Amino acid sequence: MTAEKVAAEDRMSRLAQRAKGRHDFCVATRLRLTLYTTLDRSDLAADVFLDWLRRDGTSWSSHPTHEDVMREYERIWVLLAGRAIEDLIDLPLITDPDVLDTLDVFTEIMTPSQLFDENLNSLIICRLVTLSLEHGNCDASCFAYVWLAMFAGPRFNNYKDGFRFGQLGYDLVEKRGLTRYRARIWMNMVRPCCPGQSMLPADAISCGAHSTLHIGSATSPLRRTAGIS
Amino acid sequence: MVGKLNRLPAETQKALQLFACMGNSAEFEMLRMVYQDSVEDMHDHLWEPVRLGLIFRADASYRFLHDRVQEAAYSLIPKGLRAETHLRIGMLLAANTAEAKREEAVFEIVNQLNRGSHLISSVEDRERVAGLNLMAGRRAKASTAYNSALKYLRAGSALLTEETWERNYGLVFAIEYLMPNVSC
Repeated sequence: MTAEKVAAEDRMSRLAQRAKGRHDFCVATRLRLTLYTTLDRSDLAADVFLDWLRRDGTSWSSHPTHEDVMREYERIWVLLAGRAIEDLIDLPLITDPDVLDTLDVFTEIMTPSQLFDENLNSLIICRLVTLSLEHGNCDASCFAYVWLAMFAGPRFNNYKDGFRFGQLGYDLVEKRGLTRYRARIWMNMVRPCCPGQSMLPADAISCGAHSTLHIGSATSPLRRTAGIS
Repeated sequence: MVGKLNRLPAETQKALQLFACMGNSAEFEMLRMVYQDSVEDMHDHLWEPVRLGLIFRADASYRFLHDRVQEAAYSLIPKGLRAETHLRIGMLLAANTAEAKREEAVFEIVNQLNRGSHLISSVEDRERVAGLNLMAGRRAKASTAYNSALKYLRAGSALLTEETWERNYGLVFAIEYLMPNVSC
């Protein structure tokens, strides 16, 4: 097993080194992040991500300060520019392949960064949200909104808007068909993101785990248990 | 059984050997590509074993009566020539299958090619066979047959060298990228 892990690591790091063009580099980077998540090496995942980001022209510390995070968090409200969070459901869909690549890499660093550094994780969540506000919605945006919902309360003392972002992410999946990360989104929605409250109806919670196995196309959110498994 | 087969005309024996390489049954279309014959000649060569009840003729395919018959026909091919025979069958199938049907037939094609792929010497052919393995790997992955997908991708990767990164970047990147995606 150990030898296989090392071989997989080597192979994927060589793949990233040899990648020609930004798209392939993003694709290979994503793969490495997935591997290090699986291997429980969030420290290495953070290294890979920050190196990717540097090559893209942005230098972040692996342990950003609270001020760094707050600056990005505040940008969310600046970019909202008076709109209601619910209105974001009508943002145009992102079509720029470069932006989609960026968001894909950000999506993959969410989980390991949570285990590595709270501020880095918050900064990543907020940046994924601001990128969506700047460019439009895509599958990764839903994921970002739901993560913001999880942490807006405990980290920014803003449970109310967190809940609204969570609802937005869920609605984008269910009403706009951005279903790529449906399983991950449901999983995050059933985590307690507001005190004493989950964001999904009870029936949906009971089948949250099933959705990771098979994504069906059931239509009624309250009747998924049978439809999705 | 082998003795029985040995008494058949040489042409018929050869036809049965190739058929045996392709499995327990084979469609007319595929057999004809491998025999490089007309439909009539194919049926002529296989008439005698049909009459003896060694193989059956259905609407669009032939089938061996029993695995034992297939094994006996296969055993008539000298051991040292088997890999080469599979490779030749694979090459003929690949060359004669229409572009539109290649994806559908890709498993049958690569399953033949891979049994003799170590004999391919030209870089072009190795890359072509690696490309077919990539196609098979993608198809297997799409139907969540990850173990098969990995087998095809490994076979494809084994045919490529360091130089492929320069010569055929898209091919080697796709294989190397897909492999970890199906091996977890």
